[in-house]
Amino acid sequence: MSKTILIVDDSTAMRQMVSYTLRQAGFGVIEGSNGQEALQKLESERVALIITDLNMPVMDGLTFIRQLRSRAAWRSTPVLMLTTESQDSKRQEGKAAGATGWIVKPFHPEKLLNTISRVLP
Amino acid sequence: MTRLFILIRSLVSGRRSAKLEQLAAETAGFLPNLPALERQLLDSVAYLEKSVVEVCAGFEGMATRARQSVELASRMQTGEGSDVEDLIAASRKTLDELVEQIKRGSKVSSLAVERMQAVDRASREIVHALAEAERIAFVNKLLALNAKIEAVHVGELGASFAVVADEIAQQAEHANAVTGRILALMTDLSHTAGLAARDLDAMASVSQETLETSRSGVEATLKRLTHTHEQMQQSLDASVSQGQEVTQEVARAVMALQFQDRVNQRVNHVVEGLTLMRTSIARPLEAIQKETPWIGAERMREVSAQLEDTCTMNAERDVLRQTTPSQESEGDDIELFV
Repeated sequence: MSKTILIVDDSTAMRQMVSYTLRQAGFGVIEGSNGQEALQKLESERVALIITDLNMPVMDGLTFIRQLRSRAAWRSTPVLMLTTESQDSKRQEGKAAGATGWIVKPFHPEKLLNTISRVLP
Repeated sequence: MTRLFILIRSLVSGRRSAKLEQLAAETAGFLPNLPALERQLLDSVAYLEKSVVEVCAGFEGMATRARQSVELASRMQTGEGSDVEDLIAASRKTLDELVEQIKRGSKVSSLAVERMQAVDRASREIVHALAEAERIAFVNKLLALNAKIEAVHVGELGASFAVVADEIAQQAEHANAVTGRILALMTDLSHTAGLAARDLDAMASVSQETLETSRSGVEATLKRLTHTHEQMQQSLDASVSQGQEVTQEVARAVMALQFQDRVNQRVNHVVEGLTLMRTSIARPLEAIQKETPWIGAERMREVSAQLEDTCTMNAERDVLRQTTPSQESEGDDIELFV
């Protein structure tokens, strides 16, 4: 059975491109446009991995990760940040919040898939 | 009343002056930062155009490959495709001719068998006749022997008769030898003819049944080949159709991507408007700043810092600071924390 990945980004185009890349590789995909929507989706969906943007309205990526890690069910789920932010201070913030990895946009589809294969259980 | 009016006027003017001063400070704070924002806009549209160019290059590649694929499929349909049909027809024709030849060969073999059988019958009759000749020779020998015996009984008068009898006996012997040789030859001939007849018969009877089995096998293979060829034609038709659809979709995408040009123009118009606004405001502000040079300096620094805080990308920071863009290769910045 194929694994499902949650994509969280306020940009529809960005979600579309990540979704296309993942589906081509055989993954199932669910989407959220911000952290709050993503948390709601996770109440009824099982996912193997989460890819989230940083800067989003309603609930940003760091807040989303912190809330996620506070729940036992999602403590060990790999979370990759996919963001335009490249400053080291932000990167360290993400790591401290509980992110598994940091990918700076634009992403290369093959490299994204390689990174996912490295972190998926 | 006049004094009250002057008092009120001076109070109002005082507040107004304060507000105007505040406005001047804000304007002095923001105005110098406008060029940086204009640069951000222009840099963004340049980046957008670069991305669209890359996307279009990708589409061009896809469209070229789709077109080549369609051309190849079309060539196979019209050129090599019809060659395959001709080949199948030619194969079927050759098969029919082979079958006819085999049938003719079979008939010839049957005829040859009949003739060999006739030869066999004739050679048997000859053997019969030779046996009869042998019997006659034997009887002649007996007669010659009797004649000799009678010649001896007759005495001298029978001497020449005895010679004749001897001669007859010898001729009978000779005839016997000859018929013996002929008999041996005929026996051989009969045996050989029999073998030949058997072989020809065997050949003739690789018969209709075997012939039909082989023919059915070849025909079945040709049918499968025809079916495969038809399927290939269908696949090629589908390929041509899909290639055309890809071309259509690429055309739609190319049209959609032309948003970039409109965005480019609109942003440039906004930048022009901002530049106009900036130059218009700058003139009176310069006059104010000549009198009060400190006005807006602190605010300008605050605004610069606020703008830098909003940046999330190094490229934005580079434009703001007007520094050389860092040569990061896109798609390579990945870090795993585990």
